[in-house]
Amino acid sequence: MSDVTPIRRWRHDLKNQLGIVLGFSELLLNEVDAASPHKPDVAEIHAAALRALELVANMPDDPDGAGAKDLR
Amino acid sequence: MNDHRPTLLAIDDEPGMLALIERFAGGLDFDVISHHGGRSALEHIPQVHPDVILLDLQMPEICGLDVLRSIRAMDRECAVILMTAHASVESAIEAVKLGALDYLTKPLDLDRLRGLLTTVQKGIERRQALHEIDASVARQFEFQGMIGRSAAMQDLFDTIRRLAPHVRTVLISGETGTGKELVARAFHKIGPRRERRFSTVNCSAVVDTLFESELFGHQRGAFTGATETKIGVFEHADGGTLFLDEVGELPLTVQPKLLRAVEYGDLQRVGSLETRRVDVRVIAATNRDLRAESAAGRFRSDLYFRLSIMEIELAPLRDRREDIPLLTASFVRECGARLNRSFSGVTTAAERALQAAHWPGNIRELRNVIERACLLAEGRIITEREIQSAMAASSRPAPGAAASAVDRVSDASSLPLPEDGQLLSTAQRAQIDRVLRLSGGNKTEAARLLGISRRSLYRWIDRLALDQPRRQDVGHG
Repeated sequence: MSDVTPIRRWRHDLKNQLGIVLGFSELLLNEVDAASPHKPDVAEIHAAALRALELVANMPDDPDGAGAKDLR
Repeated sequence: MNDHRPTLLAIDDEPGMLALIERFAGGLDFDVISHHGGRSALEHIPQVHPDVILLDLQMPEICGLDVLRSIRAMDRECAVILMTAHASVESAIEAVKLGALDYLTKPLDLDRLRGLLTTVQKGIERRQALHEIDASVARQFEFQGMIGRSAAMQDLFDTIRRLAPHVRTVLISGETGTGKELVARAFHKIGPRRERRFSTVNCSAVVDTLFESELFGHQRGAFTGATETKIGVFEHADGGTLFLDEVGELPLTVQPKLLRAVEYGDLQRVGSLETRRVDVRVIAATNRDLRAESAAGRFRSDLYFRLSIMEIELAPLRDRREDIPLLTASFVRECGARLNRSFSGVTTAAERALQAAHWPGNIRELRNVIERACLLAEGRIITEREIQSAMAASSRPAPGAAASAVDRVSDASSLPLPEDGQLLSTAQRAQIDRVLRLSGGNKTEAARLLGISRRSLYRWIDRLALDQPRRQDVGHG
């Protein structure tokens, strides 16, 4: 990948970490009993990770914010 | 049905990602093996033999596509799923070209991953179920050690069942490896003489000058070296069945005497004027066209007509390809039992390769290929690559196969035949026995391993058999 700019690299790594948070919270959401008091907490983690992911996706590629967005 | 957990190999430089995959796929009944880098994973793939690989596209040490290329060079059939947090059209196209099962973007859509892993699981179960079915169908269509649901084989089994109680002479023709001896044994086993002796003579293994003595015996002093009176195979098989393999090799000079023995049961030992009477059922086999041989004067036509009253022609394997899956399943099961390993069959691509092969050595060759592939097999399912390398080994000409007749003569004489009455040295006997077992009874292969010609191997076997009558006799009540 010759076109890797520092910001792209950073975005890639951040997405990876968020993916892990999302994945584990999704697993927990499926496993935790519906009546469990932890369920809403896990749902919050999951939703926050999703929002963060969206933010990362919408972040401009160049510092001016005028450039084209990444495909994702 | 599925008696083993499929193996998933996860390759990602991110430990959290590996942990997530382990947790997720472990819950779906996969054995998960994780690697932080492509290189260490590639080193382990041949030992692990994974059913599916989850591979990260962007790794610092080696790029995922390069890892995929190396995986493909090792194993064309393993399912590979690529993952990336940075999808691009180019890498997606390249992944598809390299035969990736799917291309997932991170964060992973767990439902989609579940769907893919279930597909892989179902595929394995399907192969295993097919193998079970083929093996059980093979048992159903088994007849006296022969397997076949093809019309040709079913007709053959019917013929044997119908005729075995009645016929006295049978001529079996067919290419090498088509199972002529099995047919002969089947005739014996379900015929009225099943409790009596079944003796075999391979006519290509007997020295021309010794044929008569071999078949009819000799009196002491009949010729130089005849130090004592010896009975021939006809008298030995009295009351039972005599199998004359490769009867087309029989010298013309002996043929009239054989005709008398077959027709009237009359024979004379070499050096004796006394006519003896035997009651022997003769089953002859040949891979030559005896009709053409007799038309050309190389085989006596009266003997041919006498032997061919009932002629059975065995179909080459390429003319009954529908039996290949059954034979394969049966041989795989057999080898697995012998090697104490449980195989769940062959892959689809391996099966295609087996179906497409020409099989000049017929069932014997197929059996050898399967046996070799089982020995080579790393995993539970035998892959196309393993079949291909087993087939390459089988089609490689034996050293000495191209040797001239002169070479073969010297090759035969380099292994001195023992003197009459003298026991083979234990070491030689053990060696020949061991090689024969190793080659599954395939004489061509055994001769190749021993570095001697097929003909001289037969001579050795002959000597061994004389010392060990149990090798020749079955069903002797």
